[in-house]
Amino acid sequence: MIIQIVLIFLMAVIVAYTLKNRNTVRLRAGRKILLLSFALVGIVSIAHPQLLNDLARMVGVGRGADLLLYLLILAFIFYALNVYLKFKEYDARLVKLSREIALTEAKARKQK
Amino acid sequence: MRSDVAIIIPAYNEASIIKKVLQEVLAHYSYVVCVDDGSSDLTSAEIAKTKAYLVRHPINLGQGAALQTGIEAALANPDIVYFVTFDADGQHRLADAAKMLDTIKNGSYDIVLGSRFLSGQTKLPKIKKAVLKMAIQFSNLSSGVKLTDAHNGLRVFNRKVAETLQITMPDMAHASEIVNKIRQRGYSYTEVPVTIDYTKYSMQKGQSVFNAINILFDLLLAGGRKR
Repeated sequence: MIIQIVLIFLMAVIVAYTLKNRNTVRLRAGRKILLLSFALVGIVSIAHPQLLNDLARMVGVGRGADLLLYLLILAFIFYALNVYLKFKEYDARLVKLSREIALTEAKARKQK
Repeated sequence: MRSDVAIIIPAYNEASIIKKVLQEVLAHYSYVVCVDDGSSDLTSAEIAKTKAYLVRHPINLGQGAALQTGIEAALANPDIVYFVTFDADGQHRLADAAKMLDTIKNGSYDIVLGSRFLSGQTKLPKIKKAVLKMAIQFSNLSSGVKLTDAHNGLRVFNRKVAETLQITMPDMAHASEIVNKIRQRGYSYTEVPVTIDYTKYSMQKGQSVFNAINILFDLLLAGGRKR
């Protein structure tokens, strides 16, 4: 089924994403575009629920709601990974800051 | 007394033993940087009683971060040619450090690593030895650097390594990070047999087997992230 190919491909993309530097201008813009498109797709499919059903049938999924669920799972994984990576970035910043403090304080202490 | 060597000792909650360890080291080396990694006990106060250069993390950052801080502090001293990482719990022997300093100078290596499995000294508890050997195998395969002991805290390296090492991995994954960087940065290296003294005190502070999982996860996700 087409949906299997699509889902596996998207998973691979998500994994590749986590391995690269997520702070490039391109990826930052990409995330904003992704967010906007989610909103748009959400609005459109609420206004025309039949669209989701048609799309689902095209890729080999029974109901629109099922397709939505699959995509939601992927979106959640993506979100969770983003949060994890963001925390790691903050951790690194914290370490740098603390190190500055420690070294500056040590130098001052030595000079006393 | 050598003034071209910096002994870097990261310490976390070692108030009961740190003064003794530092005084022994200071008897042979004039420049000792002791990094208190945000201890909750009186480690800093004990370090301050000695002539060691005290650097205190305001919060606990992990042994890797403490080492990096110590290295950066030592780098600020232009006289330092060799950097030695040394444990605070009395497990390492100064005689081994001296041996490694000879090795690095005579062989012009970038980094010399201590190995407890080269010396045939095997006073290790069986489980710990088994887990360690597995970890070493994994390290050898994943880093491409063949070592007999990839998790030894006794290391000696030159200024080039000190400047380019940049330890960033949290907690105990730093040991693997250092090994990976040996290959990535192309350092010339060798191992020297050393003896680890497993005292009752140092054993209770050892690494849990579960931590290996944490380390593995961190290493896998490190991937190509910007450093």
